[in-house]
Amino acid sequence: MNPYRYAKALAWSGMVLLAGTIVFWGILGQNIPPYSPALGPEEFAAQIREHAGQIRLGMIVQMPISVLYFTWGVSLWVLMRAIEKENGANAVLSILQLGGALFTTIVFVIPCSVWLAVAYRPEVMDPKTLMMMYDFGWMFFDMAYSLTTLQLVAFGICVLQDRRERPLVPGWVAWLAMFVVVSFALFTMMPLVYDGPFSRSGLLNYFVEFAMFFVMWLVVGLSVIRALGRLEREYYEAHASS
Amino acid sequence: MIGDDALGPRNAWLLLLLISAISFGAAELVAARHLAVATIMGVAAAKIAIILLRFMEIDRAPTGIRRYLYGWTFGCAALILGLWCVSAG
Amino acid sequence: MQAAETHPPAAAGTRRARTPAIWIFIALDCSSFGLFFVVFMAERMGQVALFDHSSQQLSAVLGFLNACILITSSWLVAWANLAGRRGDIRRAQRLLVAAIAVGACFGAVKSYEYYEKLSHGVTVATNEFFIFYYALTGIHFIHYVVGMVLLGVLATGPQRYGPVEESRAYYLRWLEGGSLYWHMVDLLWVFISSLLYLLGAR
Repeated sequence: MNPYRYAKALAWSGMVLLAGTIVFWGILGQNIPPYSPALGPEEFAAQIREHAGQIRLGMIVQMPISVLYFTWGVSLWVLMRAIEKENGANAVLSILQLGGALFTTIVFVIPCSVWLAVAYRPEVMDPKTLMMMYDFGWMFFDMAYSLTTLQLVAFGICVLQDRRERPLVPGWVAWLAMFVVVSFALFTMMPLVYDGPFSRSGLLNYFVEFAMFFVMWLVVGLSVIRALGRLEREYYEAHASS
Repeated sequence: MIGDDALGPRNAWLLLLLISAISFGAAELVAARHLAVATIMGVAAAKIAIILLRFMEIDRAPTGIRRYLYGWTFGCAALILGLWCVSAG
Repeated sequence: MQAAETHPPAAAGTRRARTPAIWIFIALDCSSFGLFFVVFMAERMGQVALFDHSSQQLSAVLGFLNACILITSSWLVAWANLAGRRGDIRRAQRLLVAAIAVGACFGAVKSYEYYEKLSHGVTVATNEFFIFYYALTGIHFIHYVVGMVLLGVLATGPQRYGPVEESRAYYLRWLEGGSLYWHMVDLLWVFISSLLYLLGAR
């Protein structure tokens, strides 16, 4: 029985989520960029009321598809277990990654439910309440960054210990992943400001950080798909006669 | 005792301290701000280049990395100086 | 999964000799900071007087002192790396301890600066310049703390169990990587101190 069965499909599920997130969370959800914290309550409420329909649709889809982040994490786990077994190492790093992937899935799901609630019936809600809920969603989404840091740092450390002549995952991918998730520490500034480059919609804390995250997600995702394909091929070659 | 190979870093250290003092002096004492800022950024770029070469032994690093980091050093210094000059009118 | 049966474990060290990966990290980190510096200068363009006036509230003397501290600590680490390469691990360890002692002074000066500013009510909410001041020096400080921990671990020397040659080789690789990281901390402070303390001086 192929030990890598399902793994590539799970790896692809992460890429499906990536595309879905751009469409549903990003475009429909009015999150490119999100509403600036500098907006006053009335101005903010007016924006939400104008776009409530598409935000609602975006979140209605984004919430259930976010489970694909966990399934993606399982594909990384399969790859990491293969490396750990080759090295005779324990399962600590692969479990840390899996935990991080599970937590990050929650970080997608809960804020999206909050934003869905904001877009549910904004016309009857007090603007300050809408603003509070929206801010809450963003505090959760941005400030729980260490859960994703855990996931990708564990992944990076594991794949860097691959002793093969030609590693399953290139070293630069591991370093890119670890660097991006450690850079999330910049979000520390986000709750302290209301506009400018460090705010949730600012140049650094939105455009740079989120662009880096999506690029890294794609790069890691494609590397994992390739690595799993290689492991599967090696398995079949080794068992060709049987 | 310092071995011969350690003289490079030791001399680099002395040079770095010296030019740091020059930069500090330029910032605090030179009235002509354009000259002061050009000195500050020039010294900054020189200090980083010395650190890359003498402490980090960047000539042992891959060519791409070496070119990138030297480019980054002088590029950032030039950009900062340029933006300062634009805002100084 | 029966991966151990399908892939005989590769012998340690057969991974193709490659760039010390720390260089990739350094390039990425420097790129991030470079972007930071440009954003700082761009924001400054709209509020030159505010930025310069705020900069004058910082002590250029302390900025210069911290630069000298990091340069000295960096030199000691470079020396330690050379000693390690020559096979003198004991000397490398002593030099690392000296580097840590000198480096600790940076932490002390920075803590004093932060305390002094905060006790005078100068926080991230004060103005745009100070948002950048706390962000830039804060992120640099986190790098510094990580570096100090790294140097501390390296100062304990190679692990005392297992094959000696292998543990020495492993230690020396980490010593080189750790040294490069520490030099990066020093190098970043050169630009940070120039931007924050010196450009707006007088």
